[in-house]
Amino acid sequence: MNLRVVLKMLGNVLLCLSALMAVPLAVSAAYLETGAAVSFLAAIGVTLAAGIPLRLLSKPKGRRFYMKEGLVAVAASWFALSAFGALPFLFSGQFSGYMDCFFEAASGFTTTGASVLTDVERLPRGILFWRGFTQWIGGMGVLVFMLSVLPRSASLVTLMKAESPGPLTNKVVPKLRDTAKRLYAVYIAMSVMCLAGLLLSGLPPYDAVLCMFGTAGTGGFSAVNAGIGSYGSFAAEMVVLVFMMLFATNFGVYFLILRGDIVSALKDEETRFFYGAVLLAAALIAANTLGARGGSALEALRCAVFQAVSISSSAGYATTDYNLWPSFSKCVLVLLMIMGASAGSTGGGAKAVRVLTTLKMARAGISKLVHPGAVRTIKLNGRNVDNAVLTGIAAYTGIYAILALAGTLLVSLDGMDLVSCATAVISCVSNIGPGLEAVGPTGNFAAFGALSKAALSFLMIAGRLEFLPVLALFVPSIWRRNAVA
Amino acid sequence: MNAVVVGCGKVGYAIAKYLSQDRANNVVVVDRKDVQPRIEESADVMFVRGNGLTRSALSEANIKSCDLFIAATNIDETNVLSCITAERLGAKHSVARVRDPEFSKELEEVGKALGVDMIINPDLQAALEISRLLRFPSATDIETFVSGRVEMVSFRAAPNNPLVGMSLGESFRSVRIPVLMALVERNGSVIVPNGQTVVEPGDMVRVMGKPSNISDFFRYIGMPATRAKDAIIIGGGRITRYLAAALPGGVSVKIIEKDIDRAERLSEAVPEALVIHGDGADDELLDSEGAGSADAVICLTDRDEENIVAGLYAKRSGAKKVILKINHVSQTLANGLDIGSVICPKTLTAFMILRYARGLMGSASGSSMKTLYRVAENGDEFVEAIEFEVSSDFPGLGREVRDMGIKPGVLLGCVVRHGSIIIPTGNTVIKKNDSVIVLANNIHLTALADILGGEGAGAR
Repeated sequence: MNLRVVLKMLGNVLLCLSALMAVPLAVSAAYLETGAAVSFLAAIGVTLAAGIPLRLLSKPKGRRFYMKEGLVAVAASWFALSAFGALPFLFSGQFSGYMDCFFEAASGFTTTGASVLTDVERLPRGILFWRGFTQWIGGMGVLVFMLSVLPRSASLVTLMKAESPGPLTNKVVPKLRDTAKRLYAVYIAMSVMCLAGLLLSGLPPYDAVLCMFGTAGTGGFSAVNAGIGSYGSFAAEMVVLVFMMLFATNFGVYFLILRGDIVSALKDEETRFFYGAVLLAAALIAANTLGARGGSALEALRCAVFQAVSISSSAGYATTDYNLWPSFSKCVLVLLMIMGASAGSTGGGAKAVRVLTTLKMARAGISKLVHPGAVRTIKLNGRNVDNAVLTGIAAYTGIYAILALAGTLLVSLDGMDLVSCATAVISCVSNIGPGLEAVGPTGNFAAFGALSKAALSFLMIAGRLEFLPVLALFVPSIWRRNAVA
Repeated sequence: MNAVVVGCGKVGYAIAKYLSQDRANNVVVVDRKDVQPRIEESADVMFVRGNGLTRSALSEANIKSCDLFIAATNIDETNVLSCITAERLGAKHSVARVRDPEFSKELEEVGKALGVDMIINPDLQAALEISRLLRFPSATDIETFVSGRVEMVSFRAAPNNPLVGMSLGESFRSVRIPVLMALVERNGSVIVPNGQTVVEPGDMVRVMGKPSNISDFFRYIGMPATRAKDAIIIGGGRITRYLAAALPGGVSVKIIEKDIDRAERLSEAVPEALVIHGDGADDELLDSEGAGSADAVICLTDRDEENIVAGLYAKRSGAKKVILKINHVSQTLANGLDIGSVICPKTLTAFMILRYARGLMGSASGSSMKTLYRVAENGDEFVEAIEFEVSSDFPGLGREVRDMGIKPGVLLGCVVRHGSIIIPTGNTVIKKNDSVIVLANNIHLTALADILGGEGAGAR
């Protein structure tokens, strides 16, 4: 592997990160928070001290990025982002230990929204802003952002493929750089619309911005302890609901609409499946909670819809304590956690398209039993899905299961109940945020030990990058110069 | 410019790659097979999977805003038909690849009538290139400009070449023939020479000038400048047929073909040639047919390896000139083997289309591009030789070359005015209707005005 070209890219990422930290620095300055401002200055200093030498001293022999370099660069970048993005938290002195800071930063960048904090309101506003901002940065991806600024290189397409969620990543316009720019343009435009909606529904500007970060990145960090329900604004709740769904939709659909191809956009199989699954889940939960608890039918429906959307979009906002729901509803939520959002969105999870394709494979498999001679091709939007893609989806499913089980085993060392352990792990792998019981909507991850937090942080990053780039780091041959496998 | 390439085989792949190297081009590749990982990793293009004949695939490739449509699938009829479809759907210009010798002539007329702008035949291009080389066997490559008035010819400097060890300034003074040393290639890297550059043994040197002066120059450095009189062609494919038709009378041709049916059809189509049924890689056959004493041995089988082996054997046994065709092997590698001239039909075709595309882009800005050759290439680096006709809106009109502010990396090679050739110096003035040949190192020129804008002086 060409390590130098990876290190150079890592240097670029760190320089980019230090520039991004200037935003919360300005916020701290605006709120006259000297302590927070100093922690950002220190963090920027350390990041630059690491980034500049990497950027300047790595003199790659060839500039070419092959798949190997792309995978390693993406994985290394995300670990570096979390490691250096944690510095402002560390310097602010509001967290107990670096591991907590790393967890919080990883949770932000991967748009998980799991927190170790019990009281977010005592944080300085600048620090709280950074915590929210990381989700917005992580939503569309840092490397995609860099691709829109870096000089072109065709082979950098491996970076986009490794960072963008979903089994099929396609360019929307011929040039990689233009594709990255357009992705960000849509992301920014939708973020602005979301912010406008929140402001109109009466949220204070600071809270509206943070709420927008959590919604757009589908992270779900909140600016207040009691979550967005505490604003008491039904309008704000609806804005968040609608935009969570929009940000969890495959952005490819928006490009189809922008091109005027509304018919294809409406016919997109993944989007139909995703919306259908979420609506079905909401209906099931509503029916289940209505029978189990009092309250009006409308109230039950409202909570059920919001929770189903919030969990499947992987934002993880809560307007109700679903820990109090009957088991069936909680089970539906766990299933939604595993599925997550659509491919090519800012959401996490296994992605609707993978679930849909797996179901189609299952159907084809059964049909093959009944008609041994049947020739079945798996189609998506009327096109055959390549065998390599199908294998990739099967591999993803296997890896997801293995990592979730291994993670649960490791986390259970802390002695918590099985449901808390298992849902904490699933929630982190799928980048949702809250789980059930101890890590439910009113709880947090503070009770876990350092080892568990390290494991969960790793799972968040692995889940955000859909495993392969992170796992590639552990393939010995990738580090050898002339590797065979 | 927006380009759509249908068919991602050898030619389509090369075209997409070269077109996308230019920042200003947006390239979409359409193919029925899923070649996305391969093409997207090596070229900044968008891939659409689908049939290039269908409206759905073409509109997904955004055919409405397409400036140049290139059909390069391996079926001639599909290419022509998809060009017609593309033009109907809004493509402004279209190019079709047509290979079949049986009807390529007719098809050209049909294509023109149907609105296909350019019919390109890689095998015919290869044959024409080979026949040019046979007129001047000492050259490894020949590029012609200004309808043949100027040639750029390359040769490999043998250790006994009188130029070796001399700086170009010295050799120019001692040779006293007005030719321009345009480029020196050494160990795969390209040097745009100045007066101090010293020629080393093994260098590939390119000189530019009037054909008669170049012949004189070759005689001076001890390389024969006479045309080949007899040639042995190994392999009887399409290029062989075109070549046999393109060769001037007086060249006696032997064709060695392995397949008996093909050999019989060939003897019918090319009655003036002697067709021999046999294996071109068989050294005894080559010996008995006199490959060692032939003026030229041309290896045109479908397999690169056989061409290289046969070429190597012919060269070892003393053939004066060896030309080999390659399709898959890296051209840089084949050139480095130093067997002889290397012909690569897919790159020839890709550059013809590139020239056409670049011409379209430059046509808006007045000065029109006449010819373009990519004369050297190494990874992302390249050198191109381009001929422009100077129009009245060229901003450098009436100024001396040294005051024009020619970009670094651009060398003014030759100026042709009313048929006479001027090797430019610092005080040459460019006038309207001149033909100018420039060499550009890693710069995508689309119009002559693009050469201006730097501080460095390009001429010597």
